[in-house]
Amino acid sequence: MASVKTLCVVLLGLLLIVAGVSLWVLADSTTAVVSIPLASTGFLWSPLIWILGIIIILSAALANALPLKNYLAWLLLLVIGYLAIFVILVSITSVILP
Amino acid sequence: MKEGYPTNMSAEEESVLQPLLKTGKGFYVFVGVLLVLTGWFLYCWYTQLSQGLIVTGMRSIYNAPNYMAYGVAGGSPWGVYVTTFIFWIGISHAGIAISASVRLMNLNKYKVVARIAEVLTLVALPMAGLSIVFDVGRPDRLFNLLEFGRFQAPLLWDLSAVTTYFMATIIYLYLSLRGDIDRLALRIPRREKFYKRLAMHYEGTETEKERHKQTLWWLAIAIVPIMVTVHSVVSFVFGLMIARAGWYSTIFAIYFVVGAIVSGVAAVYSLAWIFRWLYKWESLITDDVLKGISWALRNVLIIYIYLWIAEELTTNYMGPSAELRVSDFLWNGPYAPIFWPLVIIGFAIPAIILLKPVFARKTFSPKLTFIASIILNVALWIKRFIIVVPSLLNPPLYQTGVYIPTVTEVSIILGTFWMAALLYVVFMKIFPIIELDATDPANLNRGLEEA
Repeated sequence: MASVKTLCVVLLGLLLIVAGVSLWVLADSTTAVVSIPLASTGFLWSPLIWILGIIIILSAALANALPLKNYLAWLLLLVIGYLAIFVILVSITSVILP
Repeated sequence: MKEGYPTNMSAEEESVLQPLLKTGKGFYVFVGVLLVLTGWFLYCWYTQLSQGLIVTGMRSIYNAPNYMAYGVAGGSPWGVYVTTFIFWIGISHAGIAISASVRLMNLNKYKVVARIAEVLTLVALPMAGLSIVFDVGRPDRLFNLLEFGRFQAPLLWDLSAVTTYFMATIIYLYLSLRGDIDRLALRIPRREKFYKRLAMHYEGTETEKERHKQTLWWLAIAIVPIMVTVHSVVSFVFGLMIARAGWYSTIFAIYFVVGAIVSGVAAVYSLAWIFRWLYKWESLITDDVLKGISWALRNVLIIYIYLWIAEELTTNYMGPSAELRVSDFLWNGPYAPIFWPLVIIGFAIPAIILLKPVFARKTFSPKLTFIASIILNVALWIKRFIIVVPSLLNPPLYQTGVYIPTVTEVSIILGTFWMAALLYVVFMKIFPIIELDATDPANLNRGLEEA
């Protein structure tokens, strides 16, 4: 049972990583391989999709060791915690910035 | 009493739980000082956010028109913040690397320093991330990275790699802690509820222990390449920039990875020595364990010095004029007073200290090696500084510039050190910094026999 659960988590994570990268590449309208980090191209929010994929794939270790309910709580904590870092930093700095 | 836990605490276990059970005056004073310093850091960051990067040394120093301002006209657009980012990423390296090596290669002797290293990674990575947040002018646009981030940009590779490493570290640390947390529920009854909840129905059965061991082993296998990737990707931010003399190099990835291992191992040695001295853990963190870490440090340091010499030789032998300009800036120019003391005090002296036991046996001194490890960490911060700044001060289209970090900037980067120390201390008040399993007499004896 634990290994089936782990396998499902790994597959879901992989799917998100592949989907995130593919969507970005398919929607990219530029051909230049230059390191301009922020440019309005590619599929919007696709970096977030593959980052979520990475988090989920890593959480397979937890899926293998914890009961399902606890694993889901951990996964939620990791995802929300990660996004919360951005939300907190953006909120605080946007209040202070002129 | 649960299966597998000794009824009474051994002297070693009691000693490891000291930081959790006893809180002296010194602790409050230390935390108080750290809080005051963190408060000063927050004030400085507030100043920078409200007034902009003009309060830093990363600004135009000449009367250049606005479009040329902020670093390109005589200043440096990257300074101590990016230097500190590389430094913290480097520190984070050794943590899980040491722990993963202990698990993968069955180095039971070093199990006593595994968690010291893991926690170091956990506190170092957020500090690395914050250093970048300090460096960007508009941190309120951070979500743009997740929304518009370009697949071709090394900055996005960085974000993905650091996220992966951070998440892997949290999961790895939790799984390696879970057994200890469950045991703590029995040892410290007043915190029983908290630990029980955190242990998440850990039973401590042989099957469960075996499953944890197996999972951690696989996670350790995954973590080693992640760790190499993280610092390689950091190096790509520099190494792929063709327009900057001193950065465009094929050696940069391995150079950065080895540098990171040096600073990480040195940091773990320093902490292990400090804890041993502070809590009288001589019977746990033995001379032999410290000697083993210093042996690893010595070997990676030699590789790092070799790579450094190779890099300098390639640049100076018949390098393009732009490369020579940066090199000259370091060797004979304004940065020579930083460069040469770095070479002699920062690297040559620690190398001699670490190499001494090879030529004169039985001369290993834990204290002297501790001093060498501290010097090495300071030296590696400065080394990163002279990788980042001189190349930016010698841009191809402008005259050579000047970069002097301001008090605000220095206070902000020092703030990452105070916060890291604070997080570390808080962790030590809640969880044991040495795996309780490693204090079991059977494991201790096994470690000594292996030694």
